[in-house]
Amino acid sequence: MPAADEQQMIQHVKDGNREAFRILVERHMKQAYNIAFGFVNNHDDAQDIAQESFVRVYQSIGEFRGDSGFGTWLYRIVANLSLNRLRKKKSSSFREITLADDPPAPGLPPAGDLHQQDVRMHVERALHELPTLQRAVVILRHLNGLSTRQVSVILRCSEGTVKTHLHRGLKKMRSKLSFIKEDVLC
Amino acid sequence: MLMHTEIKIQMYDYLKGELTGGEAAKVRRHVDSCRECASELSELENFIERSASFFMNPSEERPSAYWENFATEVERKIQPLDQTGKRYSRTLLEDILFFLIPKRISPYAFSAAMALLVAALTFWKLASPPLHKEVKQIPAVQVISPNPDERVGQYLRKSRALLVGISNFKAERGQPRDMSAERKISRQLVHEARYLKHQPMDLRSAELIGDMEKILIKLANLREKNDVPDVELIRSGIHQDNLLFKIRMAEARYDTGRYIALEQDILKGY
Repeated sequence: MPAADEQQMIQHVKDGNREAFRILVERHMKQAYNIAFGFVNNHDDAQDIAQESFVRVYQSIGEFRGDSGFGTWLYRIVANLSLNRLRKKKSSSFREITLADDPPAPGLPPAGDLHQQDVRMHVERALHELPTLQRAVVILRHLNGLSTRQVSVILRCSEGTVKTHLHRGLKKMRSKLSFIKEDVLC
Repeated sequence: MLMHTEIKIQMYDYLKGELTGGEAAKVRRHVDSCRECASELSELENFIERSASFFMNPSEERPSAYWENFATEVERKIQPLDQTGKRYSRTLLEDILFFLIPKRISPYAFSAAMALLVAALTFWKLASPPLHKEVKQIPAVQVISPNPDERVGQYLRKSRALLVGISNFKAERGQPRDMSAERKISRQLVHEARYLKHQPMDLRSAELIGDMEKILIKLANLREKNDVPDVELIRSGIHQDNLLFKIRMAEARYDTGRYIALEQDILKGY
């Protein structure tokens, strides 16, 4: 959605147009969910956080001035709620991936190709073993494709800090995954 | 060493093509002359390319039906906010109410109370006599003593007869009843009421004619065939407004007025 259209949509929401709000939700819901999941590593929590973020947006859209993009503002809410949830849980939130028990999800490699699934599991685990801020930067910048500037706004840190965390996070992941054959991953 | 670190933290942006021309040239120059950084850049490039294919967006693990309902779920969560009046933007009136009303009182209740207050003040202003006789005021409805207006009397009598008939209406099962006569009389009485409303009249009679007009319009709009549910509604309206009693009282006022007028005529020597 072009920025001008999005601004117009936001104005409609401010004027009380529910349909415009619904369009905004549908536009951003998956990315909000992905970001939340990146932090909490749990579908139920990701759902709660993503939905709660949109509720917060609805409550305070009157205060949204548009200094940053709507997406950046929304994802900052998502990131804040996710970090709060993590603080409450005080867990490193390892994702429990059991290859034998989990049914193959749609979009995964073919059922017989366990090697691919193993690699995927290790990559995800390496990500979730990163310190929170490094993980946040990798999720936002590398996996969700947000710009360094957007990530710095979302996490309220300098662009230099974002670059440093990204560099360190990706280096740690490479190091943890170094046992995997080079032709497969690194 | 500082140079290596500076270059390394720029590598991701360099590979994504997001550095300025000068910054990119600086990274390129350094990498061309530094084996360690060149190796690091190559590893990072490989990792970025390959790792992305192993990450599946968690949203893709949810079925499409889940995403179809997502926005509806969010709307369900924001509905209670709307009901409690907690919204994102307020009108000027809402802003005023926000400061005037204690939070425990609903704005709707406050608005209703204000409307009642205004109505009561208006009624009081109309019903009470003017305080200063020398100040000439034009009342909304000219308040006069009961006037033996034969036309009003006829209107009241006809209306009473019609409403008594409707009030005693009993629907017989499976027997459609022709209401055309009632509808015709109602239409005539509505026309008459519209004429009378513009004539000088006491306040209570004016109100009564207004109330009856609503009932008569409903009667005039009844369907041709047996319209039992609507007739029942009209009957309940007649009873609820106590219309028959009010009509009798108005008729009595007009009769008394006529008697007084006759008495005055006698005293004048007619």
